[in-house]
Amino acid sequence: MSSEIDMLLEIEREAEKRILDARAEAEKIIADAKRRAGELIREAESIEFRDIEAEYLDRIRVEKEKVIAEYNSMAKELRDKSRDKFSEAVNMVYKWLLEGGVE
Amino acid sequence: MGIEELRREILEEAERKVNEILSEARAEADKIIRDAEEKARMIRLSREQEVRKRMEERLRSELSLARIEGKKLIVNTKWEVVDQVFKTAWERFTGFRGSKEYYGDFLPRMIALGVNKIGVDEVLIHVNKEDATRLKGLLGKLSKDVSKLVGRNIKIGLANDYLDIVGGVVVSDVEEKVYFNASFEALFNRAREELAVSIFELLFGGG
Repeated sequence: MSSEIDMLLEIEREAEKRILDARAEAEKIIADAKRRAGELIREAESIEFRDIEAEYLDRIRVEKEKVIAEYNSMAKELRDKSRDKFSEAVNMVYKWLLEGGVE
Repeated sequence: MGIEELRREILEEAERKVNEILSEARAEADKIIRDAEEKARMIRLSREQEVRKRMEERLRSELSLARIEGKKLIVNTKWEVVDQVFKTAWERFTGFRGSKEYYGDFLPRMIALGVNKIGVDEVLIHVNKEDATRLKGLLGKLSKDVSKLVGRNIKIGLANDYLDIVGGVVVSDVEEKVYFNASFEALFNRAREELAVSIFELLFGGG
C-alpha cells in the first residue's frame, strides 16, 4: 500500500513538472512573439520611402522646367511683340528730348 | 479504480493541461504578431502619407517660387525693352549734338525756355567746352533768335566755366542764383521719370 502511494506521488510530481515546463515554454513563445512584434514596429518606423521621394523630386524637376519654359516663351513673345511699337516709343522719347519736355 | 488506471488518468489530465497552456500561448503569440503587423501597416501607411504630404507641399512651394521667378522675368523683360528704348533715343539724341539744328534750333529753344522759367532779360549760358568754343562767335545771333522766341530783347552771355556735360545748356541769371538745366543729362533723366510709364504702356498695353 505504501509503495502504491509513493508511486502515485511520483506520478503527481511528474505531471506537475510537465505542466511547469509547459508554462515556461508558453512564456517563451509569448516573449518571442513580443520581440518579433517590437522588430516589426521598429522596421515600420524606420522605413524612409526613398522611392516616393525620388518620384516626387523627378516630378518637381519636370514641372518646374515646364513653368520656366512657359515664362521664357512669354518673355520672348513680349520682346517680339515690342518690336511693333519700338520705333514709335523711341520717337516719342526723342521728340520729348528735342522739345525739352515741353508739349 | 486500480493504480494503473489512476496513473494513466493523472498523466492524461496533465497532458490536457499542457496542451491547453501551449495552445493558449500560441494563440496569444499569434495575436501579438497580428496586432503588431497591423500596427506596423498603419505606421507605414501613416509615414507614407506624411512623406507624400511633405513632398506635395515641396512641389507646390517650388512651383510657386518658379512662377514668382517667371513673373519677375516678365516684368524685367518689359523694363529691359523700355531701357532699350531710352538707350536708343539717347544714342540718337547725342548723335544730334553738334548738328546745324542743334545750334540753330535746339539751343535757342532751350535757352528761351530757361529765360521764361527764370524770368529775366539777361542770362548766362553754361555749356561744354566744345559748344562754348562754337558759340563764342554766335552769341549775337543766338540772342536774336532767343529774343524772337521769347518776344522781347534778351541779352545772352557765355559763362567762363565749362560744364562736363554731353550737350545741351544750363541757363542762369547773371548772378548765377537761379538755374534752368537743359543739359542732355538732365533732360534725359526727366524724360525717364516722365515717360517711362507711358513707354511701358505703349509697348505692352499697361499689362
